[in-house]
Amino acid sequence: MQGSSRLVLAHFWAAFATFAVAIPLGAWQMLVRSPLHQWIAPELYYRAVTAHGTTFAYVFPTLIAMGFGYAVCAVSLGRPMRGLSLAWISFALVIVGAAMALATVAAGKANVLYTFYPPLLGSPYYYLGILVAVVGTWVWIGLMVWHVRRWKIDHPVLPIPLAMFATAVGALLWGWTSLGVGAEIAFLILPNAFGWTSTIDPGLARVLFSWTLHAIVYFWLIPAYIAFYVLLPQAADGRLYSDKMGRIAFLLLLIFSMPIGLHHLFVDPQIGAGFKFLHTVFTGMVVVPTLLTIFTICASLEIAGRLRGGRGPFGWIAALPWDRPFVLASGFSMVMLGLGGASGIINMSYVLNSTVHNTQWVTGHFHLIYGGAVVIMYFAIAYELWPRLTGRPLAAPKLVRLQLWTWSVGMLLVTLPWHLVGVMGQPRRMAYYDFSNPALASQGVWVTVSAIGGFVLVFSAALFIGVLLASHRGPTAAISPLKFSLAVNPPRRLPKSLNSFGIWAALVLALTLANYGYPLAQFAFLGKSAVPAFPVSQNDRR
Amino acid sequence: MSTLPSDVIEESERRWAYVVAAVIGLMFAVIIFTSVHWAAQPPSNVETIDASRLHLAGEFVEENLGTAVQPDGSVIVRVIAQQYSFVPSCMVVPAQTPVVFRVTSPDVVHGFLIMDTNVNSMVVPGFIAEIRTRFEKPKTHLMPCHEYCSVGHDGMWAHVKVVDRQEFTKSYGSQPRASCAG
Amino acid sequence: MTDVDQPRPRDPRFAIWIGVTAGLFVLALVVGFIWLPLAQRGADGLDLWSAICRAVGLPSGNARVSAPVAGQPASQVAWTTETRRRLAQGDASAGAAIAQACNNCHGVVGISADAIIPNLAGQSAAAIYKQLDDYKSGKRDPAVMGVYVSPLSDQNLLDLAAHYGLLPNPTGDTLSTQSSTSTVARRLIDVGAPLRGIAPCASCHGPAGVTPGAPGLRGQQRAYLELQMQLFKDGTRRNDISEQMRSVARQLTSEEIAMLAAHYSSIPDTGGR
Repeated sequence: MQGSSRLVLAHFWAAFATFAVAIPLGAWQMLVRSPLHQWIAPELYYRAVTAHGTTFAYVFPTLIAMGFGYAVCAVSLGRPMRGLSLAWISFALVIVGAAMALATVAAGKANVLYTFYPPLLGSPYYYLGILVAVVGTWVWIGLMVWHVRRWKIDHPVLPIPLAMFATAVGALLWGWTSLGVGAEIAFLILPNAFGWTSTIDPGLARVLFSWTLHAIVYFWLIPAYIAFYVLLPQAADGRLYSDKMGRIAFLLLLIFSMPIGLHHLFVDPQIGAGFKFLHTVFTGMVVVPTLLTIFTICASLEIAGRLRGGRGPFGWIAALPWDRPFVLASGFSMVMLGLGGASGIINMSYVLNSTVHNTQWVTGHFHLIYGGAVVIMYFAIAYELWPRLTGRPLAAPKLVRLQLWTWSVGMLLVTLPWHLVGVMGQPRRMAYYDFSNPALASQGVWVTVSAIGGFVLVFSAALFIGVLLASHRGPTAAISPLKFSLAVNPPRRLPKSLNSFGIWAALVLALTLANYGYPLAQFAFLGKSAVPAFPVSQNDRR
Repeated sequence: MSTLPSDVIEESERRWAYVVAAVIGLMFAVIIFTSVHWAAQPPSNVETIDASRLHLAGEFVEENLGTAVQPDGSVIVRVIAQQYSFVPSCMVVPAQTPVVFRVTSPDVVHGFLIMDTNVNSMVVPGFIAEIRTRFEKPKTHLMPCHEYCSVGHDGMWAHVKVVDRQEFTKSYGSQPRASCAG
Repeated sequence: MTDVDQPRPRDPRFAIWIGVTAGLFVLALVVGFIWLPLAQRGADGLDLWSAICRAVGLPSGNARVSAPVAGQPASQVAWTTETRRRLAQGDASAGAAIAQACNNCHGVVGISADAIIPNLAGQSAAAIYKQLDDYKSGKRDPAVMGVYVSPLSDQNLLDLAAHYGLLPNPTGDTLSTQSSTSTVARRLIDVGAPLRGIAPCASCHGPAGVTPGAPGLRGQQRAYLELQMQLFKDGTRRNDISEQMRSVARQLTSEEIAMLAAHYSSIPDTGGR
């Protein structure tokens, strides 16, 4: 990876280190809230939930996206990355910020959960840590955009390689969407936590958070989609069906994943129903790039399957090399994406949302999409990159397959029961439920099943870390350099719309203004809705 | 690969685009249809209130909490969601009657969820959440708070008792603000 | 290969996509702000304009303007920013001077000698201030305390609250001699009884969490605690804002109240703060 191997490896190891801590925390939470365990004093539970959520929302996927971005940058542009010292500064900011936030959580000073809805207020160092980490990612965004620009100046005619094009989309998307939570922390929460302001408007804070809360999921998703487009076809001995369609899908993600966040606030009292419908419509549009991706990837895999001798309408599926980790992981990912996407359509529906809002259904939905479909692709990416980063082949291929199997089975065991008890009305974010009550008794068995699934995931996570560690100790060998899949018809030239970002970025700005303008501006004149903060911990009491 | 020229690929993609458009179009059609003909809609009532002074005067003083029968026979239930209880902690409403819940919070964000129904709302301090519904059958529903409201969140459960209309008039009709709490 | 030298193909995508997006936006506006509000006016009998205003989220579009209700507030204290700011202005040394009048009953160091009279040492200043103000306004039965509180100014109350807040917490030898290991009490304190509507005591009274004005209970006098919980339970005492304490106490049995009082009075108020 031409000089950036250490950088990429540092990002991935830092990410997986946080992963290794946060996964057992998740499993422990599921155990203590299940009928298998006595009720525990909830403070510890919420401390663990905050640590788990903060790690998986702001730290782990961010480091993966950054590390993978650097890898893509070096490989797809075919020249060494520049600005390595800036990249290390960015890494250090993310690590320092994450450490500050997580240490505050561990000390029990910020039991506010990763959504930290004001006026609930934790220690300022928690929010400051997140802000520092977010600012660290902005350096990465700058580096990605700068590399694309520099490459375009040197190659005015050639298309930007698809992997880099998509990475730049991810960077721009995150840059724009991180402003919501950034503004919430910088202008509402921190001034209050430090005592410079006396009130916070919780409605405004929720709208700003929703600005980030949905598109952040697509920021997590984009590395997985990049892997589908540029690594999977090759891993299956095929070629990418269409390079152009990939670009269109990523551009649609850029445009439609941001101005739709109000669908998280369908049952909030501070937003008029008209805007709720508006955001429903645009949330519907964000289904389009996923449907396009599914089509293109299935077509690419069909090419691979038929090249490998598969026949008939479905024979090509059996002919695919399912023993290869990347293909296996992608298959599982697609299944979980399909299931999670279906439950997501319920969430985004203007009329169905109230059946499931803030129930365990929602937790099931985003764990299936993110913990399942996305994170399993992070594993696949790591397995693909590791030999290239360490110069040693991957240890124990059988264990790798077992790891992917157990992760998928574990994730389905965790999330499908959650969907079910969610429909039964079980609220999320509770440390215990009184299953002795007849109305809740039938949920107990399903909560137990999902707790068991949690321990399957811990086993799988341990396998994953073990394989990566073992691979560092293996013998060195000649490893083929990382290459990205070729399209069936690689584009030699592309129209401007599929090879630039300027006008699309302007469209995103305009759409944001149209969809978020009034819902944000209304707080200037609604009046008297701001309230004093309520500290979550005892220390601020006297 | 020569067996797959660009125009074949683009033709297949065009066909898929129609499928996608049809799927999305159908989704919107269903949403709009149910919204118009079942009048299913998310709560929509932007109304602010001074959260710190709820108990001093106005709509959410203690005496006004609970179920109030309106001249037209419908009921309004006024509820406070606070750390860590709903007041009243047991709400009573008649079956087969239009019900409006008006809920607000004096402190942090809470959730309002009546189990086995579609009644679901956030309760955001500074705002009044208004939820319209109708219960068909007498039944006692559980009502947990569904948004984390600090460490006592787990203990924040209330009950909604739906009773027959005659029973409601008989047992609760005399109270200006009915509830089944204590 | 020849196309490398040709000018780039004209690109209609920008126009098409921006057109589609704008079209979708307009369509969503028409449906979301006109059609659906019209269909959803339902029983509210709104005119079109009010229905649209409600969909936008304009307060003027509210169907239901509520008439103010006359009530007797449970307490005149409200946890506004103003109250919170003033609490920080209590002067503990001035409070110590005023507290001379309180020492007879509440003890020189804020630890009372009589189990029916509360300890005040180390108590939350917000809790003391609120109770003093409630005695003064008659929201809490002023039979005993009224005479002491009525001549005091609001600033006096703040000073007293600051003074007692700074005294060292009750520890060791001042505790009730009957130690309690009641699992019932511990369970109520740590996890509550959710479906009876009882949140964990510790989530308001510490150490797990804090709500404004909730007193610390550890090391408090046993008879005092038991009596107050009983008064909340039977509704005799009603100065808790929005029934915050009454709604819990109503659910407690008298046995549970006795066990809680015994438990709290036997543990020192030291750690976790």
